Amino acid sequence: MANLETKLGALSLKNPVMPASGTYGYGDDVPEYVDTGQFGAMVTKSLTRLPREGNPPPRIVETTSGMINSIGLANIGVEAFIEDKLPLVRDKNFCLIVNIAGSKLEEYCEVLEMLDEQDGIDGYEINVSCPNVKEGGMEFGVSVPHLTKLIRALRERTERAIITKLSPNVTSIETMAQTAVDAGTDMISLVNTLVGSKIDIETHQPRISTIFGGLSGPAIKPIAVAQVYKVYEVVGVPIIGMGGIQNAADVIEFMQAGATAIEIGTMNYRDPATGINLLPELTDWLDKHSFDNISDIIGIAHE
Amino acid sequence: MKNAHVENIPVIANEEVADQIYWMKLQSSYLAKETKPGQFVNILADSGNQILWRRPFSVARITDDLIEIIYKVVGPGTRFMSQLEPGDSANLLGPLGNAFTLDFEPDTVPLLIGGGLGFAPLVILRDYFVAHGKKPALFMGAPTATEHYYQRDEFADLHLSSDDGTKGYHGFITEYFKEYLLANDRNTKYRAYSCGPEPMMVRVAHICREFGIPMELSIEREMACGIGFCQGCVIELVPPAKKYALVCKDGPIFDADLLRITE
Repeated sequence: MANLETKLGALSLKNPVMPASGTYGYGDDVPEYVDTGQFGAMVTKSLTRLPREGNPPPRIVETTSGMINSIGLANIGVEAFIEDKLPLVRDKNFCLIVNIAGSKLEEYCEVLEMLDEQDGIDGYEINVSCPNVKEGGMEFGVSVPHLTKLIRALRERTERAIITKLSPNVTSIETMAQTAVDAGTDMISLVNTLVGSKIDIETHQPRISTIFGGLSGPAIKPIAVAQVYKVYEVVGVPIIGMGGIQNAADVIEFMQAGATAIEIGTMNYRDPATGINLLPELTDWLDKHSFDNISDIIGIAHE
Repeated sequence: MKNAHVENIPVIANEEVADQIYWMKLQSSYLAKETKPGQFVNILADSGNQILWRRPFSVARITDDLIEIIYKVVGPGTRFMSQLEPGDSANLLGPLGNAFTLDFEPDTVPLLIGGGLGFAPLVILRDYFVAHGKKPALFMGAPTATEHYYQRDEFADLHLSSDDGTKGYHGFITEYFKEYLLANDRNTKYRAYSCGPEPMMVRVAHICREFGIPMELSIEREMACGIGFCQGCVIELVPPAKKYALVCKDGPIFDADLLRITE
């Protein structure tokens, strides 16, 4: 039986599947039928220094094969996370990756420093790509000097893995990826949501309170695969791919494009066990195609 | 939410009981055992993946190992559901959300006020009260006679209305409800439950406040997940509570005094 183990730098994951930030809460409050210990890693919702209520409703709308969200980084804040949530997830059988967001460089640093004092965290995913908050860190995701400064500052503050989560809403994803790598990120994750909008033609009103939100789901998968492919061509660090993944075939496609691991987002809303249910299929595919290790398929679409 | 799980369960019946309104019965001993009045289930409404979100429906009745839901065909998701036949299976996630408050003083009369499809969660509540020896007063309004799907009740005090006068009281159910309260002894203790279009529930809340009747309502919002993951289905609360509650997890049942809409 094929081995699903994959290595994200110094982190060893028993399989490449993890929930995407913002689609699984903090990993603690999950229906009991889902054995979260089967995930390779867990990525928390974005944490900011202080709690955030989030954007006014309506925050979500369904689109063909996808959805648009504008939650606005609603979260309990880093202190409440450390106090109430971390003890519930730190000893689980998955790597724990905490997603960090902020509006200023200082905020990212402060959140990271507070988390870095805690045991049981394996790495940080840095959200520089939230499209839904004015001060959501998006400037860091689209500007080379800002991104350089931020990732350098965080690099100086931790030995743990840093994953920079990139925005697809840029002219050159390769430039942003290279920038993050030069500044010291250990890995890249992509893509965050694409800017989207939906209008109710009867009321003439946008269906999202902030007019624009982040489009996710199977509708964006080909765009995400293309961006993973492009980034793999230019950087040597591991890539975590995401964007509309629904099943084992999608996981394999992202990995062939160059991803070392993947995140599942929108499909968790349909069934939070999606990522676990696809694991046997993943093994079957590898066995049928005579791959002993899932790591053997990383980037093979480039050969 | 912790006990929610996903299962493929058989469709036992799926009948059109009024114009474009279907009453579906599904077999699940798990859901029949675990679901409390006011809770809902999320149903996959697509065999492929064009329609990503499950559709939420209040459980309207539980008999033995069957759970029953009532829905109206309004879009592609409910159209898909209406085409399911006995023998087909449906994929459900549930039970979800909180439940109505069921225990209160023995001499209290339950008032159940529903509009259109919103009557669905009140049916299971009515069943609970009847099974516990109470005689609830039911108020159900619809735009017209052909949209009435709950027309008889031997064990409850049933009041029907239609906006166009083709069935029961001619006018809004809220006005019928107010006339009922005015005509009854003001010393009777009541507790009210409402589900239906939001303007209707807001009006019921105001009437209940006027008469000093505690009231709970069942809120509907579009939901991506139903389990608190997406943070999309928020409703605004009045201070000093936190600003937003999640309809899927903190609700769908709310005390009317807690919501901004019923202020």
